[in-house]
Amino acid sequence: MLYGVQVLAAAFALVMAYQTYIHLRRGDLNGSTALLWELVWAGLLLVSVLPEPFQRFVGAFHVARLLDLVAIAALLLLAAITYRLHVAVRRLDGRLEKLVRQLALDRAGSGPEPVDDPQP
Amino acid sequence: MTQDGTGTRVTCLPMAAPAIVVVIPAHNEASRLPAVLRELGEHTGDLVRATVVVDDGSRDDTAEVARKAGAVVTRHALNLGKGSALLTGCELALRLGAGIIVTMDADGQHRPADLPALVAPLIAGDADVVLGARRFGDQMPALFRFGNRLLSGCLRAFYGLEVADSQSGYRALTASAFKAVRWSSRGYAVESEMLVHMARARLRCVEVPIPAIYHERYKGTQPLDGLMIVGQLVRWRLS
Repeated sequence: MLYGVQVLAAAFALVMAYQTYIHLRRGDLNGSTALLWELVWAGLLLVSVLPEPFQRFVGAFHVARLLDLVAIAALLLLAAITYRLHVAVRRLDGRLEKLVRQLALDRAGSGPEPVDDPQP
Repeated sequence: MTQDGTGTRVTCLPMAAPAIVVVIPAHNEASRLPAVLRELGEHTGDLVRATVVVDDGSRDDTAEVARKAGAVVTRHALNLGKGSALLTGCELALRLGAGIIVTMDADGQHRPADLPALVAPLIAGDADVVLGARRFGDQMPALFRFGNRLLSGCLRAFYGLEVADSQSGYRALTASAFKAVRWSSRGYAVESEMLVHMARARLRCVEVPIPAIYHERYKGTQPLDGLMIVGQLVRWRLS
């Protein structure tokens, strides 16, 4: 018998696994990144549908319920992803600024730009 | 200094006076910029070699109106912020052979008529950097007055720098001073970072009084920007 929260988590894992597959087919993700994410969603699906084999970890990690352990793991994963995104965005931001300024200096005084404004 | 026909005080340059280039960062200022550029021409005459307008990703005709007014125009394809636009403008000014760079706002906050007084200490060799210091009267909104005093207080406490108006964008500096104060701030922290580098490089700084003119309360440094700048000042002090 599955509880509501288990059904919700399983459905979420399935939707996300499908999304990952879609992004792999579109070429947004490469094979290894897609595989990594599919493993994450498969793990979530497994823990949601078959929690019993994982109950032994509850005692090992000194948490009250398996759900707490999953939530803690998810928070740690989120923190790691946020940090990685922060670094990537800063790096991209710096490169973009350098490019925009270099283009401006190279085109200085050369008349109107040939391209349209990319901003909405 | 002499009086011209309009009563404006005009500085007479010695023969070997360094070339002066004015740098104006502009973002969506198509309506106010023409008047600023026209006044600049009227009040400075041959004093200024060129005026550089950096259109910082405007959605209006800022670049076009500046070009029509005879300025050297360059454009950021994306809006990067005042600090980046100033940096691009100053680097372009150096390419144009500037010996003195004057920075001013595009919205008419700074009177071109004050430019000769601003560059005079540099021409005389009495300073490396000149700041246009606004009078903190009723013209300046109370919140801006408070923020400006707070930032000036931080600069005094952290760097021992005594300036009356640390956030004025109307400044003049020599080309060598620009190389010493070259900043990395993209936004409104540029004025503070410039002063931090100036203090560290022990450059000579003079303040020249200018009037405070405000057209738009919701442009320029806002309270949140001010708090971020305080944070930056602390970070620079610790670095």
